[in-house]
Amino acid sequence: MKIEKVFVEKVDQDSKFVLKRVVTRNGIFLGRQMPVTNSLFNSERARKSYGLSLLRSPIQTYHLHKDRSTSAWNYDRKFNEARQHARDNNRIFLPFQQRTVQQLTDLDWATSEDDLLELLNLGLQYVPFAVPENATVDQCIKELEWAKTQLNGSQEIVPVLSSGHSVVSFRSILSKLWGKYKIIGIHFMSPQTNPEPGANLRDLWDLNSQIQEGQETSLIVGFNTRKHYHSSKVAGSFVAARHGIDIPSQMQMPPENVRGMLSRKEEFPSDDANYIYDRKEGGFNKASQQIIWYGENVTQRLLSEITLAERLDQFQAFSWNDFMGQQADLYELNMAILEKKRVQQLIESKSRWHTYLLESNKSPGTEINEED
Amino acid sequence: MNADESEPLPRWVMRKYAQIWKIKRDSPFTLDEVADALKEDKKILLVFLSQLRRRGWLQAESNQDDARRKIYRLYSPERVLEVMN
Repeated sequence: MKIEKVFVEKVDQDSKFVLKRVVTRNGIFLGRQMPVTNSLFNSERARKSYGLSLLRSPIQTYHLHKDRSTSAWNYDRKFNEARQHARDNNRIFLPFQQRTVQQLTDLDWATSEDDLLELLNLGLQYVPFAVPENATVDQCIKELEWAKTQLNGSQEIVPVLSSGHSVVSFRSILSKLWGKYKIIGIHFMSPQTNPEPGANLRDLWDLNSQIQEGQETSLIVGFNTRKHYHSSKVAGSFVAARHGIDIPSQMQMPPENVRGMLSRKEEFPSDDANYIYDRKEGGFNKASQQIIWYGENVTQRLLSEITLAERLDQFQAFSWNDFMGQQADLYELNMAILEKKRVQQLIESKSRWHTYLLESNKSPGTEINEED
Repeated sequence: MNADESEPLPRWVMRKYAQIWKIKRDSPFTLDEVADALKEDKKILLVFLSQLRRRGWLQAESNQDDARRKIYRLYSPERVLEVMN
């Protein structure tokens, strides 16, 4: 699926949350969507063979990992299947070369160019181009100009900046790209990890909310967001939305780690080892909390209701539930922006969202304490 | 703000107020005690207690044994509603 236009539908003047509208050849969708990721694609594949319904999302991402023995990106059979699946379901397909923090720090233009050419040769519609963290504005513009000369037909570049980019140039680069590219990727690192992501994500939020209603903008995809953040387990989808990300594509475990985890499955039999999304709180909780708060083990009920009927295993059932809950909440946030002045009320209805908003509004380095 | 002046609470704060009221009523409690009883994250509870205090649903006093910690006491729903009316 190809995007024709992305524009700002509405800006909530109090909260500065922005609602975007994306026009494609196949129809229109609103910004702030949960994408179908590698793991959700696995679940959909299992359900498809039984003729069961799939997730409603216009975006499908695929996180690529480096093969440990060859150090090459792993474009395996599953990558091609995922791409075909996205095409069959009229979805925008976005691959992403998932780098470790070290690989990201070491990234230079020569490597980034090679990685881009590999993806271009696969004939993809949207091709990510990773910007090294120390790149200047001039270097970035020059490289993106070069990248354009390599495109075939209707292919489009998706520049991907790291939120850990040098603070000296992050804002200037982003301003130059904004609105010129239909999709901009952000390699999302938690604003609490070190000062750069915090400052850069504040700039991202700022630039995002400055675009006037009706004007063209870019769809911002956050790659490598986490399922949840902090001890409060606030939803990664809300943390991303709070920083101006429209599409939060959660970090994907490399296949060898997944295999290792599944072989140790018997170590995780307890309901309490699993966090599931709770729409009332806007974050994740576990069985022992649910029993005290709601008087029932919601995790157990979810497993008994979903796994068999929906043809999903335990882990797939959790991620299916997490997708549905977060998508419903993001939809509610979108609707609140359309109905003026409901955004703050909606955020204040969920403990995790409300607490995260208060915390992220505080000066960097200060914590909420008993004096507040 | 004190109990002479109270405001409605955000939905999640009201929900947690009801959970704590069920356990503590108007007896004094500390942050650690409620964190343990509700199996709730302390960061969430700090915001929760701050919201209650600012909106006149909670009394907070200094702890005699530890000046860094506070002792809390909920105002009853009847008392808060009476003040609101």
